Amino acid sequence: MIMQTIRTRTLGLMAALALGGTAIGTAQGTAADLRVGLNTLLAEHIYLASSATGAALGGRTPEFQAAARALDLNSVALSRAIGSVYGDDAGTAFLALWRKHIGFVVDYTTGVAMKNRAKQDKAVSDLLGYATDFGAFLNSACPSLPTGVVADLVRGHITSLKAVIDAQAAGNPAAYADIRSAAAHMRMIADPVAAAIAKQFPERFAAR
Amino acid sequence: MNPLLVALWAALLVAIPRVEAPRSDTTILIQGFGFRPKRLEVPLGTRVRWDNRDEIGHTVTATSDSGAAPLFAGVMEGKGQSFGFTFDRAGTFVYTCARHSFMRGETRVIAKGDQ
Repeated sequence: MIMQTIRTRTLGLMAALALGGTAIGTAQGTAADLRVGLNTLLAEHIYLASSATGAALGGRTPEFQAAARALDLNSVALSRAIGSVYGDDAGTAFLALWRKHIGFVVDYTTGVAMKNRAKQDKAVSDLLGYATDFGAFLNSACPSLPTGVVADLVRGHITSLKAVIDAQAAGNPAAYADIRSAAAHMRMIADPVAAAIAKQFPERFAAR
Repeated sequence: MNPLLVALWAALLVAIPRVEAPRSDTTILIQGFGFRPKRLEVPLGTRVRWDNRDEIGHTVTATSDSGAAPLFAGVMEGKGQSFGFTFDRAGTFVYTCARHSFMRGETRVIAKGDQ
C-alpha cells in the first residue's frame, strides 16, 4: 500500500513535470528524471517569460498574450510538480508565490516601456523581497534548502531576467545571449532543489 | 457539623455564579505559507494561537467589511513567533496574511447550544 502510494506520487510528479510539453526521459521515478524535469521547466520559464516581455515591449499584443498563456501553463506545471511531492496545499501556495513574481516582472517591464524609473525601482524592490519569500517557502517544504541560499539564487534569476528585459527594451541583439545566460542560471536553482528533494524522499527517487 | 452551617454553605455554593474556566489554547500552525488547519471550529471563549513556523514574517489579519478596523491583527516577524486571540463572540471569522494575500484561514466560533 505504502509502495503503491509512493509510486503514485512519483508518477504524479513525473506527469506534472511532463506537462511542460517536453519529454523528460523514459525511466520514471529516478533522481535524474527529477533533476532533468525541473531543469526543463525552469529553463522553459525563462524562454517563455522573455518571449512575453519581448512581445510586450515590441507592442505585439497577440504574441504577448499567447506567450503569457504559455508561461502560466509552465507555472501550473511547476506547481503540480511541487504539489505532487508536498501536497495540494503546497502546490497552491507555490503557484500563488510564483505568479506573484511574474506579476512583478510584468510591473518592471511596464516601467521600462513607460520609461518610469520609480515603477521600475518598485518592481525590482518587490522582486528582491520576493526572493526571500520564495527561499522561506522552499525551506519550509525542504529544510535542507537554506532560505538565504535559495533567496540568493532567486535574486540571480531576477538579475539575469532584468538584463534580458533591459536589452530587449534597448533593441540590443545581446538580448539573445542574455536569454541563454538567464536560462543557464536556472540550473543553479533546479539542480540543488532536485537533489534536496531526492535526498528528502530517497524511497521515491531512488538512483537507478 | 451543625446542619444549619451545612445548609448555609450549600446555599452559598448554589448562589455563587460559576466562573467558566478559561479554555485552553488551540493552535494553528503557519507553515509552508499556509494556515494549518485552514478551517477550525471552536467553542465560544476559546483562545486561538497562531505559531509561525516559516522563516519569514506573516500576519494574521481578520478580514473586515467596508474599511472597518479588523477584529484582530497579529504580526509575526519571523519563525517561532506567535499571536493569540480569544474569540468572545460567535460567528465565522475569515483571516488572511497581509503580506501573502493567498493565505486564508477561517475560524468558526460556536456558542453553547448552537452546535
